[in-house]
Amino acid sequence: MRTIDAVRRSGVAIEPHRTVQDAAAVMERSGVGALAIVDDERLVGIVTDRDLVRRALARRLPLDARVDSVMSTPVVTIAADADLHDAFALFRSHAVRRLAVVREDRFVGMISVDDLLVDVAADLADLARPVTAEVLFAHRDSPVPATAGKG
Amino acid sequence: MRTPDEMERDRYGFPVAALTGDTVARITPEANLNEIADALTAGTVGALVMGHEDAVEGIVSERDLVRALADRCDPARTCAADIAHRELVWCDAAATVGEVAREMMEHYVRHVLVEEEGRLVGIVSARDLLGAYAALDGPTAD
Repeated sequence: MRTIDAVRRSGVAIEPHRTVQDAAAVMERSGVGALAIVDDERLVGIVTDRDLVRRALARRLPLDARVDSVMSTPVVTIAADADLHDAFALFRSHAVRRLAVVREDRFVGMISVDDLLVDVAADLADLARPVTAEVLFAHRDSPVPATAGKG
Repeated sequence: MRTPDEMERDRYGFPVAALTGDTVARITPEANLNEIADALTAGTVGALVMGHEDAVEGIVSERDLVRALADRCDPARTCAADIAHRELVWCDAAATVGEVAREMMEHYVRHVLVEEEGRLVGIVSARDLLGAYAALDGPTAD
């Protein structure tokens, strides 16, 4: 199985000069918990909902602080066509919860530990799929996300 | 011959209390967003119980904070009482993982409060359950 085939939703990106508040709004609108930080088509970082809480709010950063001030970098990436087993290996070796999926160095999606757990669990337990799909990841009223527009 | 329901009960039949931590991180209703973030960070948890002393008035999660930021709430002037979820779902500490998963689905919540003899003893999240499923079913990626 290719990694790209396990990606459950379109990747959502934001530019590094956008603000912490912008990032929160994009996450909320898109129903995702992590955004790629993309500068002129170059992937430069990743920011999660947890980063906004722990690196921005807990540190009293102003909400108009640049989002790249709270992002994680460098980003651990995996090629879209890589075997999914390679993703398991990267999660194990890098202690991260998410990998950026790239094709020819361009960001195309995000895959999380949770995505992989869903596949593992759902293969054997129908119960896991609705729990994860409906409760863990999605916002009830969120549309399918698209890449955030340029700001 | 066992029914599918019985087989599922066997698989996910261990108590949900096995997934909860030793303590429940708490916050008062008056705490502002910065203070909530402090408590989440200090407790390395994703959700807090809101209430005075032993009272349980709501739950505040990381995602609630992000939603508040998205709504342009002022972190210093917005408090836990403004953003907390108050429709709480409880389960008994002896409830099984499968039973709690169904409660989450039915009520569409990510966190369920765990009680024992009428006392709050933990919070279990959808991610906790997912980890339990994976551990039981076992990744075979190697």
